[in-house]
Amino acid sequence: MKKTLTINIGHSIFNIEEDAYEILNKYLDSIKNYFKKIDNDSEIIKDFELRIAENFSAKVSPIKQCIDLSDVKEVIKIMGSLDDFKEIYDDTETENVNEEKKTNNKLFRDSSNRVIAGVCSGIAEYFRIDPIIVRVLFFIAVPLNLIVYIIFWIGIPSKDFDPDLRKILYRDKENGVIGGVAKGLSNYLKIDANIIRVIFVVSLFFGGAGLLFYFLLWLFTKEAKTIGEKMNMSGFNVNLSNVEDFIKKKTKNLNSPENTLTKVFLFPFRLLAPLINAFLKIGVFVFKTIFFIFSSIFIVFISILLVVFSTISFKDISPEQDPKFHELLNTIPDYFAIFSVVFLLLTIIISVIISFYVLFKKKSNSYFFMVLIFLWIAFLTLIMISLPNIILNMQDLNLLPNWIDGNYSFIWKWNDGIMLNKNN
Amino acid sequence: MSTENFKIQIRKGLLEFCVLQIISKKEVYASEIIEELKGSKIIVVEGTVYPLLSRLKKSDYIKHEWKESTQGPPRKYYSISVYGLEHLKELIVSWSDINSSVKELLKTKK
Repeated sequence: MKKTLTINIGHSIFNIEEDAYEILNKYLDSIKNYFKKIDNDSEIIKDFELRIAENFSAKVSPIKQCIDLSDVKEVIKIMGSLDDFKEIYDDTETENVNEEKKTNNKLFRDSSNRVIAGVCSGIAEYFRIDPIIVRVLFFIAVPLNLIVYIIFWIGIPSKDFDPDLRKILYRDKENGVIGGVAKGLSNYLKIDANIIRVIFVVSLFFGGAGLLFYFLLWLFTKEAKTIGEKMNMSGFNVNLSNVEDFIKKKTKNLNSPENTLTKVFLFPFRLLAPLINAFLKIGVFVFKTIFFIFSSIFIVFISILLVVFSTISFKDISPEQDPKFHELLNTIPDYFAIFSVVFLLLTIIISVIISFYVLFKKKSNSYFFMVLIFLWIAFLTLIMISLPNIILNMQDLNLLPNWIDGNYSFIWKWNDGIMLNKNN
Repeated sequence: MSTENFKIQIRKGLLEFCVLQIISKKEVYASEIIEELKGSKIIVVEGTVYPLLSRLKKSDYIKHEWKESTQGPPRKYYSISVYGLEHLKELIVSWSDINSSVKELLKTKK
């Protein structure tokens, strides 16, 4: 039994099996990408779809109502792969693309060959050197690199230098030992899985950072389930031969046989795998529960703080009611109150988004999130800048609570900002 | 240059000429063009025709029209324009020039 989807292609409706759909979708995407320069009004792709529909309708009959993988492969064979088009068109249309690539010497983040955001490989592409060199240089320059990297990340637009090779990190459970994290990483980074496994194991003896990393990756990555995801996972170039290779690999499991050393190395993990799997599942559940409790407490706490703060600071209290409190309120400037309210609001929104992501893996718009974080940092900075003045002001007016100004007092130092100093 | 490569080059050069020629004879839709080209082994895969058709249309050599078909969804019928006819005439002249000179070459070799 297989799941089917209904598609509308070239004004006709077909039932198509899920894996066949994945391949067809990849194929159409790759064509769309290939002809994107000359196909402004997407006429070529529409013609393609029309013809594919015609071919499909020859394949279905009352006995066989569904398009399956072999039908799609056959039709792709009839229509031709990217290699076939390259034969005919490489010296006309695509040359322009190449030229543009050469002359357009702008710095981009290379999202098709990325590890985090493609900053390093983008720089490498710019200087035409191997990305690994840039990565190593970046890695050595701790902690300066972090700042530079983040600035580049925000400042440089991303671009797929090789659009068919977009990589996404998935867990490769099928070929993995425990959760497929190491195998998934190896697909992504194109490093042998055993090296990554050894690093994970060795790190167990040095404080267990690897374990935490493994756990976090487990939590934040999805398992590659469909053929499309599996191909994306390893950055497969989609054309007919690759699709065929991939399917062969999948069905026959043509992965290179493991040598004895690998077997010996993996044996204890294979033995423990079910146990660890169960443990990890419980771990994830417990973690999510605890996270849920903490995040809700945190959000509720901040919300209460917000409500209390905003009601107090915008309320008019007459001097007669509580002269001391009135004076205290007067020392808090309006702008500071507004900053704080906005800051608290932002904190609530951001924590809600993060909680949703961790608990349900629901992603929000990343640009929106980035803007939120940026605003949050900006308001935090504004508050930090205005806070010392307010505290000193309060001290001058003798408004600070007794437990502070009995033995201690705040002093302003140019080098260190505000400090709590013990009185003599 | 391998034989395969030679064939590809020839096909590539002649594809536009052949497509124009087919369209000039009568109004056809894409699949008919493909059938004919495949029959005469000008193309191997069907996909190569579409970018060419789009390019020809952009150069105003051909135009298209949607027509209802008896079976299935409406089809896109292509026909040649005045420009296209002129262009095709030029192509035919240059093709027969090349053809006769190649024939001549082959003769003298024998």
